[in-house]
Amino acid sequence: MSKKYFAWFLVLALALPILLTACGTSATEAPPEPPPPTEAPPAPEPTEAPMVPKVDPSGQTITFWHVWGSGTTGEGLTALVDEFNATNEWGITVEALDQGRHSDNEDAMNAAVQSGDLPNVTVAYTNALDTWYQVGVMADMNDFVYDDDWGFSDAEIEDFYEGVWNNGINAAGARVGFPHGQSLNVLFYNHTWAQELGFANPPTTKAEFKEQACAATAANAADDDPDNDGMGGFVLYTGASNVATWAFAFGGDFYNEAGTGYDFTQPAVQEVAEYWKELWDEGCAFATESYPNPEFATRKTLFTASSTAGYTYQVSAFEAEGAIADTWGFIAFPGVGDGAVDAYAQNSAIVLSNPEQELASWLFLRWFTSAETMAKWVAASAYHPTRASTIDLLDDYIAANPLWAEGIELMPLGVAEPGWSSYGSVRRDVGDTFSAILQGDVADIPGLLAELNAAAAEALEETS
Amino acid sequence: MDNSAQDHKGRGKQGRKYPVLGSVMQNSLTYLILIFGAFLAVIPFIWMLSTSVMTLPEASGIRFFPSEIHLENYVNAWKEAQFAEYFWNSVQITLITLTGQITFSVLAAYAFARVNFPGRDLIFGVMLSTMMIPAMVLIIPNFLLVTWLGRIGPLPWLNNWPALTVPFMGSVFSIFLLRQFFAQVPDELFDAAQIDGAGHLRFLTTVVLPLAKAPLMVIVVLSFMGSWNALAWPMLVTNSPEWRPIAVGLLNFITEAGQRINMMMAGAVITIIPILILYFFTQKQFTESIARSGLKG
Repeated sequence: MSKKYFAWFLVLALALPILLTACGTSATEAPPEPPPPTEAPPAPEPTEAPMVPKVDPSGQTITFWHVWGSGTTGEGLTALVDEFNATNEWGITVEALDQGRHSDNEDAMNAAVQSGDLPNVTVAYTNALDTWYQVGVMADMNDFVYDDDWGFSDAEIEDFYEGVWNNGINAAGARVGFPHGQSLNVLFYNHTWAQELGFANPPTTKAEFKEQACAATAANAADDDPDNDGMGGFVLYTGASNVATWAFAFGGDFYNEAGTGYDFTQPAVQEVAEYWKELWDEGCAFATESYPNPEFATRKTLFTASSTAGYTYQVSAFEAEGAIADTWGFIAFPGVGDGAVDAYAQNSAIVLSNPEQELASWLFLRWFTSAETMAKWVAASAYHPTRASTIDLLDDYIAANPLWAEGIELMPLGVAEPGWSSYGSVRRDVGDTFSAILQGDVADIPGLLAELNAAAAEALEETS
Repeated sequence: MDNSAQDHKGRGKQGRKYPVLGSVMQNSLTYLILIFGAFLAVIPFIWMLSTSVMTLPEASGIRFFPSEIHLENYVNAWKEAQFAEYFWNSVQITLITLTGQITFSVLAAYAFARVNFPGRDLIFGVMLSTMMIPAMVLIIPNFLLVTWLGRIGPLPWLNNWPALTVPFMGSVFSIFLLRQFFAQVPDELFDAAQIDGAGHLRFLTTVVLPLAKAPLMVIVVLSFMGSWNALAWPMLVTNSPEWRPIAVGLLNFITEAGQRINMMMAGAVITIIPILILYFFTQKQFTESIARSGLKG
């Protein structure tokens, strides 16, 4: 082939895919119709007899994909699984496999949906579980919950905290996730430093919050340490969970009035955007490159938002060299009334396989969420329980971990983020939008939130 | 008149004085720029080493050098991240991939360089054009392919060495690099070998390959690095620890609630030691091959 023809061939090889991609969507297609409004999901009461087949689960081996492979949490989970394997009356063997973080586990599940190499039980947030339910790989666990032989009694159901009990229900009323633990997105607050700054109590309104955050920033700017200049107030991470918690605290949420879609232009969300922008522009909020545990332990920040599940990392940070021996604790995000916290349910779910393995999976989950087992899981993981009766079994743990116990009092203020399958991508859009808000002008806020609304509506329509 | 550019008094052809001082300044500026570039290249490695021996609060702060050296971080990282198991997995995966890649690349490159067959140049052009496709675009088709191959074949591919090694045994870059080198081997050598009764295969193994040590070392180093550092693909095709490589071990230090940057850097140092050792022993050939071919990276 001559050089000239070869050159033309390469040009075509490059240009053709680009042309095909650019011309792939017809410009004459009509815009998609908006989705019809749907009713809010009914209460999860069965209307007919559960459909758990009468099978023998003895001797089954089930795989459990989880996200707790390291540290004391990983060791605790391994011990619990070993205990179940050794003591369950059916001879069921659970093989627990660490998949990394939630995002890694979701990637693994998405790949497994294609390959067919699925586990029997997996953990995930409700929106991911709903996505997999929509493609037909997850079981509706209401069948198991209300089964006469294997389900829960009314008293046992009442024992679960209502917020997390309903968190695993999708828009169609199917129970796609079963809660075995919960954590709360709270504010970590340095009581000692706040008192030195002249504040006797934690903030209960956004004005008080700003006052304390700015006072901390000013104190750091005025001292002799140049390393903490520009720090001191509030570590601002523009993740969707932080946006959501502030919106909950300001009396709103992410839903439209009918509860059938998203609404990020509502007053509470706009108020969050303007409040964050104000804190940012006045230097009372700043960002860190990573988890701000060391900053919080060395008085580089008065407030930081964090999951209660991460409080052991914060405790370690305060025990490390260079930390300041301050008293700190959990507080709610201040706003309307008593404020709010974001309740994350740690949900497990059963993957469809065969009746014997599904039942064996349910028996493992039922054991894992018993009050006695949950107490051991709490001690290993620092998650909070999903059953009220578990608290009675945690006297020693509460006495040894008073900080953790502060979360018990905040659980009634818990509000959950949306569990729709579209929320996975909407969360990313929320984070990107609020990053843009911080970098832009105040006047841009309504426009940016309107764009976010449109993107969320599109995501909801794609997954409906 | 002396045609040299400059005599010992700094005078040029026509008796003009060339500014020696200007030459010194020019050299100084050149060296300054080179030192700055070297500094920029080396500083991340220095930061990694420094952070790997810090405590967590120090590592997350603005301190560059540790106040105290904590070598136990390496021991703890090795134990916590199951590095022993993942290290051995990486050794196996890398050796299998390297062996396959060199074998297939050498054979393919020789064919493209020295064997005339119909459509040779067209096939080579098509193959070259695939270098322009980003790797992430191929990840889903490759995953579907290995899934299918695992279903139809006798050997499972997922959670096993075939999915981790076979997709990387065909390297267009390696074929291209070797093809360019093989094409430079004089035809007279092949003619002489033919007279002695050698065919293509014997000519390749006894004449061409001994001459091709430099480009082969380039392929060994680059392929080793790619295979040793792989993360996204192994995470996709494995869901149990049996065949996970060492890069996955580093993820153990990143959790939903926090990350331990000092331990992660200790793990990263452990991870790059084999690469450094390999490059130490092959750097002469690596540099020679790059200089000869004019290719970079």
